[in-house]
Amino acid sequence: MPETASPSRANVVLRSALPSVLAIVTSLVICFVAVALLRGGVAVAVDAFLAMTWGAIGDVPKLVDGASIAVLLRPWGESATKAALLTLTGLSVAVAFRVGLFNIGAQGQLMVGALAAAVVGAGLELPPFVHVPLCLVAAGAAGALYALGPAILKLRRGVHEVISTIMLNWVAVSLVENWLVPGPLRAQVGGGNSVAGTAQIHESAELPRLVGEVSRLNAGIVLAVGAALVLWLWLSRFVGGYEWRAVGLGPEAARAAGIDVSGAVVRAMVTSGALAGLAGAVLVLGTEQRYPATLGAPYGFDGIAMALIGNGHPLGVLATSVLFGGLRAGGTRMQLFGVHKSFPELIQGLALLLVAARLIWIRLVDRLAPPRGGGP
Amino acid sequence: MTTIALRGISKRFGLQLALDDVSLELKAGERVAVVGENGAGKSSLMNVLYGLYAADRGEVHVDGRAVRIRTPADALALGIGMVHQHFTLVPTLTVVENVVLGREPTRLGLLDARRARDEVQATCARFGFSLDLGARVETLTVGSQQKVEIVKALHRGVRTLILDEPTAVLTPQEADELFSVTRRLSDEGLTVVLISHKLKEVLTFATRIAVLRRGVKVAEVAASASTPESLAELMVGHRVPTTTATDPRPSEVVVALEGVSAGKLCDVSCVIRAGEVVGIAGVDGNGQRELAEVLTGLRAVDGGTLTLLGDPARLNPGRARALGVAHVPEDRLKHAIVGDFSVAENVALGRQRQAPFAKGPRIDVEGRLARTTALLEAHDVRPRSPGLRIGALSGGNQQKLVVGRELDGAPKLLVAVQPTRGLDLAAVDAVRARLLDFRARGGAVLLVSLDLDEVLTLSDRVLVLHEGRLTGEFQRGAFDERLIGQRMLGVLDA
Amino acid sequence: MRWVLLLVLLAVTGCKKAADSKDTPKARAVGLVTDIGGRGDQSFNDSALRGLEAWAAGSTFKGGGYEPLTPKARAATVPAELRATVKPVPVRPLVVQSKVQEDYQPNLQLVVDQGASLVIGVGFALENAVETVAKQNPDARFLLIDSPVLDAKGTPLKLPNVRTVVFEEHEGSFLAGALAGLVAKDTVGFVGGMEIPLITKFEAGFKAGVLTTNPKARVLVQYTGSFDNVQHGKQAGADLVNKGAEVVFHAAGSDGSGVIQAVKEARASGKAVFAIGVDSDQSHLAPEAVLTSMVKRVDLAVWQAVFDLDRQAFSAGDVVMGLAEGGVTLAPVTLDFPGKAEALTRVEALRAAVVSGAVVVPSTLDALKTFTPPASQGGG
Repeated sequence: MPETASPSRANVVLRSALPSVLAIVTSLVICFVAVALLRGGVAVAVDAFLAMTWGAIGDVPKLVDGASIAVLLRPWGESATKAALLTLTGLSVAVAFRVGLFNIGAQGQLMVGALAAAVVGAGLELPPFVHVPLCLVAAGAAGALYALGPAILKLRRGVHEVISTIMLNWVAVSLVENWLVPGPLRAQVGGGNSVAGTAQIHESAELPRLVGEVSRLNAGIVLAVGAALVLWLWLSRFVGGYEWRAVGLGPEAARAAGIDVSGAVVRAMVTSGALAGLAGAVLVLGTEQRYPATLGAPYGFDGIAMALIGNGHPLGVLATSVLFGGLRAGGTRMQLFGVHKSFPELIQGLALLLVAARLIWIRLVDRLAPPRGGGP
Repeated sequence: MTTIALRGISKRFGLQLALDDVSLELKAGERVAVVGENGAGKSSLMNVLYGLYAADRGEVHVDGRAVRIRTPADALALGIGMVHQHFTLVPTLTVVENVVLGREPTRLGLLDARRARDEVQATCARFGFSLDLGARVETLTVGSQQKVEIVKALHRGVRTLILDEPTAVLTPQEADELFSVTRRLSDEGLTVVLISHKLKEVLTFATRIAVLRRGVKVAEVAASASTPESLAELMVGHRVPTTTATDPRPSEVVVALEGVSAGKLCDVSCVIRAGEVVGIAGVDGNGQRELAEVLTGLRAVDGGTLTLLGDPARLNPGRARALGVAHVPEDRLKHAIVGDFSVAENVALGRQRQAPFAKGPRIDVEGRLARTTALLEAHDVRPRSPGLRIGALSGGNQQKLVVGRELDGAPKLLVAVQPTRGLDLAAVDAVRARLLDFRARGGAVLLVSLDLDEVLTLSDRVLVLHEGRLTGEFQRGAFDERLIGQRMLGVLDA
Repeated sequence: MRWVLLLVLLAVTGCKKAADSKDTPKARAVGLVTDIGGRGDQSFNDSALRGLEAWAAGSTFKGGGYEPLTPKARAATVPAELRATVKPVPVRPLVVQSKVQEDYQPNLQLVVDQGASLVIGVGFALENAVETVAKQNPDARFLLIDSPVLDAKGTPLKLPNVRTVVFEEHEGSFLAGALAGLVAKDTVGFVGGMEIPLITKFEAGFKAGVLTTNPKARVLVQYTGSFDNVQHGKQAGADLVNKGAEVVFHAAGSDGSGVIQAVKEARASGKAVFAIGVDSDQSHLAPEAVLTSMVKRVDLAVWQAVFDLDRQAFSAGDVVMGLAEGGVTLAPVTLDFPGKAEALTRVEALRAAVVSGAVVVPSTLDALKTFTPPASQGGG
């Protein structure tokens, strides 16, 4: 066998990211063609995709035409908000992946986290530098507790976490959206007026806006990027993270090596739940200012897509989420060109489908550039 | 009459030439062995014949006709079957279901279970296999699973049967049984090809032996004209020193078992001393696995006491490691390494929280790299790439690394289960040398192996396990292979 | 990665200048942002879209673009009694559908940025977003459907550039109750969603109506506790039918289609029972079982605002649309029942009484306690 040098770092990154990048590009092209066919022309499709782009990264042409900086800042705010939510739920799913668990329950954990943030945000009056962190901690703790159940059930009773977390999603819907929010926690307002959702949170609990009222760009994206970096460092630089990865990739070998497998599973699942809970907090403290009548957006499920397209890597999840956050925020503008409202999600779904076909990609890549030092 | 001819086969993997213009003829009723070290190309050659690899150059002729074998299905259609080192069985299905899988007899579109059973029964009877046909495959021992693989191939009516390292997991009795079966097969006109590097078995089995070295067929000799030494020389290209144990110098007791029961293991009492190798002889599935698991903390003791270095110990894997128990497990890929981890990350496994692998809570990347590089060098693991995925290494190199890692932390006791299974000769020698070297430095070794030759070669003392009980103890110098064999089968007085 | 996207775009098409240039500003744009129900909800959003797209702009949305409607086709979308009033207005609809709650605000802003002269927010869920965007864009004008603008404490609030429209559901429910009282012998039913002021308003009006036309009748009331569970609605509906309700009125969102289904099944098994729908004409759900529906004319409110805008008469403020303004009404009764003609005459008389102010319909259950039904006129 010939001596092989370790593949260079850039090479490794490229090889692991390439399938996702190819999948995303392919799905964009497919959707572009679909828009062109459905809306009767390449020109419309170009207009629609450009509108989406400007909606994602800021309306550069308008800025050039002399519009206020708001045309740049507002899209940033929307893209960043969505990116933050996707990143946090994506990390939630990814971290569970890393110990070999499939957390389908990010949606439920997000809901209880959002509710906790809404309750603490509206129920207490504190200075902002205490109030915001307290709300975040409450949301994280709620999500963590909600994820602890499936972890314990798995370890004690062997209940598969996919089943338990799916079921807990429904429990969360019933508990939060069918009982607590319309019932005991409903906002009390005067007169015959009716407000959906819980009471509005105090201003002191709102996530600080980064560029003032002109844009909804808030500290949520900072939190999400921070979480991704911390998680990346934890997994790549810390012994604890190494142990999680060992548990995920080779549970038997990890046990034989004396690693506390149960402990790693519990800690990772709790982290997973906390991250999803934080996503709920970002939604409530960042843009909604209350738990709305229904949360509507299935960011918890989108998180699965982010984790898969991002290849389970914290920075991959972050990159994927920033991209799709932008696409989905900007994608609304495609409606102005008569493109169906679901196209941004369609792009995401297609990309996920193509990533699921990762093996095919890898084989393709290997054929184009065979790995050195292979062989039987 | 020639039935199969491989002509000028070449195959390249990346930069490596795995097969270089290799030709081989297989005649009906012949027993041919293809020998060579790991990576010599013997499996690749047969994989080409079986349709798993496409040859870059060369032709395959069957009955004088050039054929294209693109898939195993093509090969099977031509009557060529292959049994691999890694099984292709569905663990949750029964033996019958596995054997008929893919060509199930059906009635009204449903599996005709009775007919399937009868057919498989007939195949087993015809070739002299005894198997519990209704048992689920996952409940069988590795040895029995291998038999199912062979029956599966025979059941498809192959005329040429390729066996890839079949005896790696069999007891001597089972291996003998297999060879008598293959002899019967060849008598019936079937061609049997054995891929192996166990020279003794090659000589008992084959009529003709093809030797491969680095992708080139270096010799084709008659078995009657060969000795293990001559074959080894052909394979490696130079004379190989054979491993032999030196005199033991056992001293203090490292581990003592008192009436220990655990799972299959029943009321076992024994001691292992520093500076000795204690070998466990036994047919697969008679409690060896449990014994190793008890000593390494993977399995709790149901009854009795375990004393480690004078202290009664309640072990878990972490504690066992901390107390100086090293473990070379049977299933390397499952229990010893994490296949998707790099070589360096695998070196840290088990000691990830200690220097030089950690600095406080952080991974000490530099320290880990330095130690890994040193280990790769010291144990001649190739390639010397600490950053490479360990799954990309050959089995022999993986095992050398595992043994090196386990002995690196100055342990007191090494529990080695099947440490040379499936390795090439050079790796076997390297691993054995390490065990003996460890013993010489005062380490205690518990060696579990299904290869009785290995147990007898390396051990200072042999304990025989049968159905979880100790049925015999033999000192070096008083080894009686026949007697040990009887004890392994539970025959106490003969 | 966005650059990848851009490159792909450019590669496919060759360089092309930015969008936005082909707007032909022949008609002023009116923006509309739906709630998450979106186009095709057969309810609020569709009604609002009808008011803007068909009634005002005279167009229909097909396959991603607008096609003009023939005058006849347009007239067919307008109820007979409004055809004279509801004239076409030269506007260009600019519709953005919201997919998630947190998109309301950017979507409203997007429509403002596209230069819409008026921005319509459909549904009370957009209240917060309309408030914020209206404050940030003082030059733009807004119409908020179904809710006043409220501050954080829930107190109504006036903004100089926002018109809000709320509906006097109790007045419409009153007519529904009156008709139910005339159709039923002794028992009618009401199914509510959640027991909140918005819904008890329906109950109060409905009970007042029943009390007016059939004082001896029992009114059975059941709340499902949800708005999105068809099964709950079906159960409640079946319950009331089993207890003898002859007409069941619902104000329970999606649960209501379950109520109508329960009534439909009861009819199929031979019971003489009717349902009364809510919000929009729900007779398409079960033409043989839905007697009428208490319709909220969101389309009219939207058209009115667009019309006002066109004649420079758009005014901010809170608009209340009751029977008098045509904001609530009963859908045409097409089913037959004994005494239909007299019953409809009686209901029309009561409508006139409410419009003239002779009858004040109670909007809460408290007010219902002191409600005295008007004496019946013209025999009945």
